[in-house]
Amino acid sequence: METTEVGVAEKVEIKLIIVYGTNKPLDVERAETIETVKLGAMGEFGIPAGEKDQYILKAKVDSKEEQLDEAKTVEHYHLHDDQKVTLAAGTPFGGE
Amino acid sequence: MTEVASPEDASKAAVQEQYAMVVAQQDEYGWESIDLDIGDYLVLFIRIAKPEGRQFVMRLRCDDYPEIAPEMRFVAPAVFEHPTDTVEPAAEFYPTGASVVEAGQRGPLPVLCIKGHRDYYAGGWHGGWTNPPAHDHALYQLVMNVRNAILDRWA
Repeated sequence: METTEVGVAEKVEIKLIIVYGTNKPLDVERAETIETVKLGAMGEFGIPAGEKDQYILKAKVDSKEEQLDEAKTVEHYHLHDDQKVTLAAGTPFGGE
Repeated sequence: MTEVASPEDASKAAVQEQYAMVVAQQDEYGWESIDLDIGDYLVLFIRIAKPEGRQFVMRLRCDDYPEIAPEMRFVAPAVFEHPTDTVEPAAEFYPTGASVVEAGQRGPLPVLCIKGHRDYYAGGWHGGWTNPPAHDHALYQLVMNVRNAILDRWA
């Protein structure tokens, strides 16, 4: 019987590691926006969704740590399985 | 009979909970940390280096945490090798840049206008400190915020 090689489709869902003092896994889809990921990450740490404007996500992109644009997607940043993503305060300074 | 923790022990436990998170993430974020138990309270030293070379050592005196926010001071980088609570901070050891109030304006030392430390709330300068602290004001987040500002914003 003839066999054919079947290509492995890229996984739609990946597991990010959200870092906020401790590390917690978060399953996300590649098409999800960063804002959705942030809300999921906040939920993992018991932070109310109403405080979303006080937080940002940061990750290493091309070896450089940068703040992720919430309108963009997981796919856009090529975030991968087990990648660490930092949940951090977005406006820690007074008067901003 | 259940032993009731003293206020000092309860405060140390609250600091240790936050400090455990600082330690857990230090490899990831490149800071180094030391905790010093001086009896009534804990003092933390956090060393953060900019890639260009300047080093900062932040001393967090956590007396009565979380009733009041930790006192943050910057001390000579060499102090990290032999930390003591009595070492004197000085303006020259502080970062400079936006959101750093210069020495002489709010006291003899510079003051960082960043959430999570005592001087930020002193005299009603800012609100937001609660017991227990909100996520974005807590001790671990202060360390993370200062680290981010040193890398991205301050010189």
